[in-house]
Amino acid sequence: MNFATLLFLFVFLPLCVGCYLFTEKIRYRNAVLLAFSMLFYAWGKPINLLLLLLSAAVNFLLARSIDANRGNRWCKGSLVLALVYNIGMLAVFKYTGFVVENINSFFGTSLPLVNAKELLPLGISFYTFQILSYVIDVYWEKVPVQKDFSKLLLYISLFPQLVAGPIVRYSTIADEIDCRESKLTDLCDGLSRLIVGLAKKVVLANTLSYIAQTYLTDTIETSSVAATWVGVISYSMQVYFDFSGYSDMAIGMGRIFGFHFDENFNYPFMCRSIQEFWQRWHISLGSFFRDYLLYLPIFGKRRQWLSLFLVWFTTGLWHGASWNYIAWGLYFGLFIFIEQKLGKRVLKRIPDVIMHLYNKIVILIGFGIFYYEDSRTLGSFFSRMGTYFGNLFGFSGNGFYRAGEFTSGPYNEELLSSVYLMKFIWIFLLALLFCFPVLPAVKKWVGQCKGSVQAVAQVASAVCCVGLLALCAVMLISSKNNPFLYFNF
Amino acid sequence: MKSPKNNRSLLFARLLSLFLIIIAFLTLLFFTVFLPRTEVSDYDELTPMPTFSVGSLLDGSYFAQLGDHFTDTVFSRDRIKVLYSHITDLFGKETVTVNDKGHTEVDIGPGLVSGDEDPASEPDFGNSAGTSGGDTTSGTTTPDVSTGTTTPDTSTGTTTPDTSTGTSSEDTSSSGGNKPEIEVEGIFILDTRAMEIYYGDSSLKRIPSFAEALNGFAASLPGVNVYSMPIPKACAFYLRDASEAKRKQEGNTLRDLKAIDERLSDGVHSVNIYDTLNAHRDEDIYFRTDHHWTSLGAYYAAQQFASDLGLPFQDLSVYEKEARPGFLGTMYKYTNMNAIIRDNPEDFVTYKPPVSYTATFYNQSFQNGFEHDIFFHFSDDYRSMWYSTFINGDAYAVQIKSGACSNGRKLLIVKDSYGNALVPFLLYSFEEIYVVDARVFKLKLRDVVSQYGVTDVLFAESLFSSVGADYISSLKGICQ
Repeated sequence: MNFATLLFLFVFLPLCVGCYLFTEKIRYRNAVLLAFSMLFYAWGKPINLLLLLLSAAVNFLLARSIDANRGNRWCKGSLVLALVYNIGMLAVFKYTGFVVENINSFFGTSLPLVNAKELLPLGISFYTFQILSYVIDVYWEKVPVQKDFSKLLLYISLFPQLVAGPIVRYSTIADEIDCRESKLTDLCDGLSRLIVGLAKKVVLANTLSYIAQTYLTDTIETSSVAATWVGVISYSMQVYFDFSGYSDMAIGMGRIFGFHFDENFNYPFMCRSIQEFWQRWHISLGSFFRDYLLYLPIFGKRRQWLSLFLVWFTTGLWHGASWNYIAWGLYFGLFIFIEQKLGKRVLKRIPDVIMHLYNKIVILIGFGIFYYEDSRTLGSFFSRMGTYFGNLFGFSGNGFYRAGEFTSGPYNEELLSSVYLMKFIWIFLLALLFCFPVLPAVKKWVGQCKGSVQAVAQVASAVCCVGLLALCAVMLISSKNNPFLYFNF
Repeated sequence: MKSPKNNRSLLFARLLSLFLIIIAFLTLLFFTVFLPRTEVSDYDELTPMPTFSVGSLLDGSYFAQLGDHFTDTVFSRDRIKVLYSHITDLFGKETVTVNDKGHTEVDIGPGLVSGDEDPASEPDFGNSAGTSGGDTTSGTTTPDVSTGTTTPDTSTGTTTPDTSTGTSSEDTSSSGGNKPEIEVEGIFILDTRAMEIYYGDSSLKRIPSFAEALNGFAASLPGVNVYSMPIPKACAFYLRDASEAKRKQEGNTLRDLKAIDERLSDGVHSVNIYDTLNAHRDEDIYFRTDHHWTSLGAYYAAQQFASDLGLPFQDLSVYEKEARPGFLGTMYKYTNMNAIIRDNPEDFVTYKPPVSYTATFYNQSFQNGFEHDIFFHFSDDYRSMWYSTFINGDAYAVQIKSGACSNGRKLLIVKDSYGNALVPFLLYSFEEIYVVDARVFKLKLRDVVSQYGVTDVLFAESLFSSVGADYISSLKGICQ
């Protein structure tokens, strides 16, 4: 099930919250959440629920085995088994099609192709990483082993973060599984956060997707330099508002149920360097790789750079089984490598303007690489990239700017009309504005005002939320354009 | 440190906020779940309620379709879509250029009319009849249009402006693309008029089949007069003179009319109404906001038909004219609620014959009849369906016994939705009229002819249908 649907927002969620608040004891509340989480996951493809249950059961037993066998070789053996199982499942379900396709492409074989989208269970990357973090943390004795299967299953399958993240560590919510409450503040803030996230997704991201598609796909053969840059800016913002919107919704729903998930995005476009960008972008993923992969002495301490590139290779691959994602990961790895080689002192000495210009260009170009997800073979990848970079830097002969490019455009089948920048210019500008911490600034200002102003601001923000909710409902009813970017994950 | 008073006001504000948001969710819950669901959303494609099967449950398609159905059939969906159209107008600036003649230039997307004809992507408005009430002539088609870049030409007013000038057509184009045959490829907007582009059957793949069906039918019924009246589309008349688009549209229309004419046997009389309609192109013979012709267009065609047959016919002045303002027909939908169309609704005009008659409406097997006036009333909520005012669209097979004619002539009209508007004008010419829609009728025409003693059979359908594979296929089925 997708958060940004009428059925979820106005049937599933109210029912779930109603049942949840109706019960009082924590174990009944957990039972309600578990039941709704199972339904939520089964809604997409019920058969995948079996895989989720199997993963939960296997890892539950292996974690118990790790805990029960401390000090002997079965402890490590259980960990290895858990790693092999989880990574193996991810490899089989997510990457088989990609591997087969590339073998066929490289060696001219005709191995039967696998429909990756059919095979890929929704959210497998998220819940597998959550399970991995739990098992490894149990091994490292960072968290106590969970002896109640239903509680571990609840952690793994908790629907707010199941299909689109954030990747919640077991340690983050271990206590709250047993003891939590939904206070007035939680309900109020949670619902507001949910609506803000929904608006980011439905109003901003979905609308920006039209502009991105126009300049990066529909007119790719004729797009000028300016149009291509508008395309990548739109797409970067689309991905940001989509990802962060889902994270906001997840965090908001978590609050409603008394869970406090960590923030997953922190205005990434405010960064001063690429390293900082990744400290602000998809924080839960970055921290997962940092904690579980970067500092593992896989290549020995002296070869830490190889570890760094392994992390970025894996980061790319995690986003999808396609060469563009791998290139995207390595691309960022390269700039982080360069920044680390230069060192913090050198970077500090470079003027802010230069740093911001540098990192924005790098980030935007990177999202262009991220965009072309249909690059499943190296041949198609290079072909796509050739056109993309040609347009981006003016090698394609389309010129810097073509008259009328932003005031007229190609026909869009979904929208049933022409699409061009000016058609959505206010949304584009609004999105640009909200890439900066405008809301926190307003909140901070309100926080310094006297109580009555704060109270008025509180009610005003609720009224805005009601308006946004109604707007999202209208848009969801009227438009079929509601891309779900997480099918690849 | 906050004072207790401040804390109280903040607590109250939080409570009020929570209350507001919960009320909003509950209102939307009530709206989406408990209000009556939209059953027929005019001309939109609605996702039907899924049929349960273990397979569909396991592969996820059951739940997916259920979710789509839930969204598609939400209460008052049409009005919400109109609201959405207004909202999206605020998302940016629609580009409009006004040419030196003061006409709105419309950006309609890539691809050109000229040289863009693709027989494989033949538009076919008339081949998607539904099986339930309402005018479903084009109920399941999803035309591709690209007209969202215009703003209203405010000079035209809001009531039935005369937009039929042949000098102000818009030379625009739509994308080609390989669409399924039932889809429409593009739409012209000229001032306040929207028209589908007519591509036709340039390769003559389907016209011979159409003619064969009629020829075979006529041959099997010696003694019965058979007529063919393909009805041109608005774009053949209302585009700007001397424009490339006009040349193409007119050319395509005349080419296909001629090709049909040439292939009809002596047993089928051709009723070519092109010249007749063209002579009246300065009048509103086609709707501006709908893909059908108007009652007036049908009147001129019926007049020619009666004249060709030497049958009595009454002047238009005899009829009771009724004009219902605010009509926004199918083209409003097909242009994705284009602002020009939205802001320029037209009058829906009917001419009611002041004669007595008895009309019986049957199912598609001529069973379970009920009597009703040949004019039906559709409320403002179903504005785009007002064309179904004529014999309730295509839902029924109709038998009409005229009190104004007793010449023993009995006419069977085999039609798509265009034929509906002809019916009121033929009551002075025929004693009995039978109307069946070729796309949904279940009996053989021959049986109808023999059962009711039909003397004349008129095949009257839009030219889209005449050259449309699905329509021809249906026609062949009932003509056997």
